[in-house]
Amino acid sequence: MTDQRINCSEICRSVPSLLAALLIGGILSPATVFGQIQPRSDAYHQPLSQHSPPGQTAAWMNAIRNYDMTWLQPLQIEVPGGGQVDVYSGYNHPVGGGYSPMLVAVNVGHVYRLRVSGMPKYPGLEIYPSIELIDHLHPPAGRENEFPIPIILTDRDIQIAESGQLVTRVIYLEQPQIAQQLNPLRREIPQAVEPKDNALQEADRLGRPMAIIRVGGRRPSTNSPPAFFGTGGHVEVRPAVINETMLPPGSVKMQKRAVVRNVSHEIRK
Amino acid sequence: MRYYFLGLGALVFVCTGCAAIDSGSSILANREHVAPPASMISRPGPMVDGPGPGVLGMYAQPGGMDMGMGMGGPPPGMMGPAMSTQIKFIGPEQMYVGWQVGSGFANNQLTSGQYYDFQQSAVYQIILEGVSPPGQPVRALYPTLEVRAAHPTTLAYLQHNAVPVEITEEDLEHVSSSNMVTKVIYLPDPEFQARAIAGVETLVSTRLDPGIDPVQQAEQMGTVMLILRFGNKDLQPPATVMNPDGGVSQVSYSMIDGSQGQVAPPMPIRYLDGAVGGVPLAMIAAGGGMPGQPTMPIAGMGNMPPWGMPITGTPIGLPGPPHLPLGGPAGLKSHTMRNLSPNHIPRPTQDLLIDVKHNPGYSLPEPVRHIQYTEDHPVFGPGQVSAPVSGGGGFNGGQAFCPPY
Repeated sequence: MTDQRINCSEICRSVPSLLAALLIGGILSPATVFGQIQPRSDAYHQPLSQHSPPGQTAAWMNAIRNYDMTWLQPLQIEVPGGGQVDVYSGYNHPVGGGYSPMLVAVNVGHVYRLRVSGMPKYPGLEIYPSIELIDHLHPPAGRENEFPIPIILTDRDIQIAESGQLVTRVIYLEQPQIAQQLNPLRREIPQAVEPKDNALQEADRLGRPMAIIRVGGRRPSTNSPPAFFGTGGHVEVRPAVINETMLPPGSVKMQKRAVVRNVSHEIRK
Repeated sequence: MRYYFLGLGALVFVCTGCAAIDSGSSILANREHVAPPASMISRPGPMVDGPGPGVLGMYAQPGGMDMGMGMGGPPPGMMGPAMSTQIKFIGPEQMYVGWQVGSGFANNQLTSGQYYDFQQSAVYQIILEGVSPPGQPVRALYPTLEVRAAHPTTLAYLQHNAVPVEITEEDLEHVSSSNMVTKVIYLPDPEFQARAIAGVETLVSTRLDPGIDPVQQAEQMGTVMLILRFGNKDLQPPATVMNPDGGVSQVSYSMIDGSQGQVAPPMPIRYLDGAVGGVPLAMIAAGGGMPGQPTMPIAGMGNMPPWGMPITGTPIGLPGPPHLPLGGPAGLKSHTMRNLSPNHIPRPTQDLLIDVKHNPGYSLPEPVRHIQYTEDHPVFGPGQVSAPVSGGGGFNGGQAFCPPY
């Protein structure tokens, strides 16, 4: 009995110290310390952004990945209400053209300049947006034209460009795990990207950045340098493939596969 | 007593055991390997990369005109800088724009709403005709237009937009009051942008408090693209000169009139500093030898390389091998410079220690150090191996090759 009492008293005396040890151990445990590590997605520095000089992102990606120059990524260029689309590539004469929606296949890692004219909704207006293609899709062989990257210009883009401002869009391929069920290609999705945020890094977090579209109101002149018209990638105009994804804006279709989203870098008032 | 050990064991378990159980937070627990960013792996390594023979350029410089197609290397993929800034004169509506051409003027080159590409890093003397404050006669203004060079922050905007220039009624009223007006058109930094869509802002000196420089104010909030300065000075006053015969004739300043189909590009009245660009090479001002005379071995002259221009990016001036694994730390452990000149100047820093740390650190698998390759071959004695019955070959007297049983 004596020993049991001693043991009981020892237990009673040791309980507070044990609780204190557990509490301190819980506070200082390595798991808690490591739990304070920031998310890994933000643990690296992204030197590129939407504010980088046009062509820098494509040049870096080309240097890193050494893109195959024989591979041409189809782009589907759509203009609101239709219009003539001409493609420039490093020269002051267009290397191809067609009526919207136009399908054109180009090299990855280059910058191209478009001339959009003949728009029934904007008579007499010409805009010269640029496309910086930084990555490409991996469609099934022989069906590349069925999976183009959509380059969709909206009425708002044109209006903002004509008002002397610059619209920058980052087109990215959604991650399948977080892709939306609704087809976002046919509608405008407002994004919560602050002006000082890195839209390219945000697109990289949500998926795989594909292209950077810049729409402004500058027009070329007779003394515009060739670099104004792009970096000289190969361009090949192909017959457009009309499918169900080319419905007018607002016709949202259910989509099971991951699709390219034409979003990011929208107004935050 | 054993309860003390029980408590001690519980304490050790709490302090260390949870780290081993947790798999999502600890790097050491799950042996997760963290590679450097792809951009870093693609480079040879720190302190080896840089301009020089056999190494990559640090950054692809804007303005590379080489198209690079099919030349064996990656294309530059870089658009050239906007060496010209497109300026659109948007008001007032009855305005005609001209500019100075040499010692004369070219009037009526543009009308309101039109644009022109001005070469950057230069100052132009322009003429704005047909502007007048309300209730006053029409007159001309002679502003100077300073076109700043493109900056990486403004390159995208200048390549896609025309910079608007507008003379407002308020500006004209200040000019009529003999005030000087300075308009600074700049592209705000993202921190000062209210919207994600890039647009220019204009700072006018007449709207600022006295003593505040609008250029400095604009440079604090963004990148200046244009500076327009104007007052009421008339650069083409009606004047007369006396002819040798005693007659009087009026001086005519206008040489080119756009309304008659005569056009001329603007000529800068001044170039801004750094318009040439780049860092000048180290050069000794000395004359070269005339043709036929022996060449003077002067650095920077003729075929002699300039002195003091390292050809590698390494601090020790030697090209180093790529660090393996790529992206790993450099092998250079110490870089000491000692200045032994008998100058009475403070001693330079002899030891430089820079501690850098990033989290999580790189964790790559250990490289292979030892490969042990062993093959076991069966050994058979005479008579243990026989040829197949149906082989019909020449082995073992034409019998079939059969494994021993």
